[in-house]
Amino acid sequence: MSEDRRDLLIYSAAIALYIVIGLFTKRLLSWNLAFLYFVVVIEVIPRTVRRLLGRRSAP
Amino acid sequence: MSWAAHEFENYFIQKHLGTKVSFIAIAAGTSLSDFFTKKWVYSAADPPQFHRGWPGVGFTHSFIFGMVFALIALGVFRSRTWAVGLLIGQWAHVITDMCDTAGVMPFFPFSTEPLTIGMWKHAAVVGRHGDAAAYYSSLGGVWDFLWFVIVVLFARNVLRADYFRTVIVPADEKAWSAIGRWTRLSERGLLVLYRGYFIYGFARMVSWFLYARFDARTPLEAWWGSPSWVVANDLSSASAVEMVLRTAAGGVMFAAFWWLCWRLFVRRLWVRAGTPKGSLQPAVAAG
Repeated sequence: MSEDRRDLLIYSAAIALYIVIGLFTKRLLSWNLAFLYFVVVIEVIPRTVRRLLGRRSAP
Repeated sequence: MSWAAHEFENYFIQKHLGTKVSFIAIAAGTSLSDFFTKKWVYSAADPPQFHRGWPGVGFTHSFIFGMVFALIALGVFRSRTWAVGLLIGQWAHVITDMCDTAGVMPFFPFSTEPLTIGMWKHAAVVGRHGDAAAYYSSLGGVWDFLWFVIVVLFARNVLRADYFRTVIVPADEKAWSAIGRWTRLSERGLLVLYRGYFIYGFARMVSWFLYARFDARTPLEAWWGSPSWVVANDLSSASAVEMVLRTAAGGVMFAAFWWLCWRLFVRRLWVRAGTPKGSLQPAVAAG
């Protein structure tokens, strides 16, 4: 999968999750917390997962 | 008031100014007016008067408010890219907020007449959730969607990673490297921050629209001056002609004031903060 497509998938999933959480809790995060949420979901978590998977598959 | 439109505007402005401005300054500029007011609007006794009127904090939605911050950027930080970014961002916010019934006082203090085209109702009076439901049941929601479409159709290139790398960062290298150091984010993380306003704007536009349709169940009234279930909250009883005349008089005085400031000290600050034409470096460190 190309990096662009993977990015698009991750961004879309993050936005969808944000919308679902907002609709269920009836509370939307303020802009600063929303930025934190997007950075964690789009960058920090995938990076951590990649790092863990990379470590596991390393010889 | 406008909701996600303020977020989308940033990218459209950025597209047209390239490296001449700092994107962070544009984003800060568009947030300035509500940063100092929004927290207290919904608990105010008279929300529209408090938010946009005088007496009230309506001066935060005036051109002179942006001028003050631009002058601080010019005088203290000696940065043209920040001064222009803050000014354009804040002015864009003021112009956009003319669309609701409370309007803005663009030429405060020379005119305290609210200027409005009454496209949708300022609905802070019904609380935060009611305001969201009202906005996304009126032309306000259409306005947000229009800005989203404009960015996607005409300015989508500014969202690309290579645009971030070649234009956004070089235009304000100091700020981006400082953010990178503080947050310990990689370039990809900084890219998420840069795209943040767009994805945040889109996410909350969709969320609040769905909230209005399926939770609040407010009728969709996409016509001028809607929604009908919110009481009218114009801040002035002046006719359209009076509003235009008073605003025009305020505009003339504001222009004269601006010219006087330019002659007295702004030009000196501008020259002092001068960045060589075409330079990608901000002038923050000069001197």
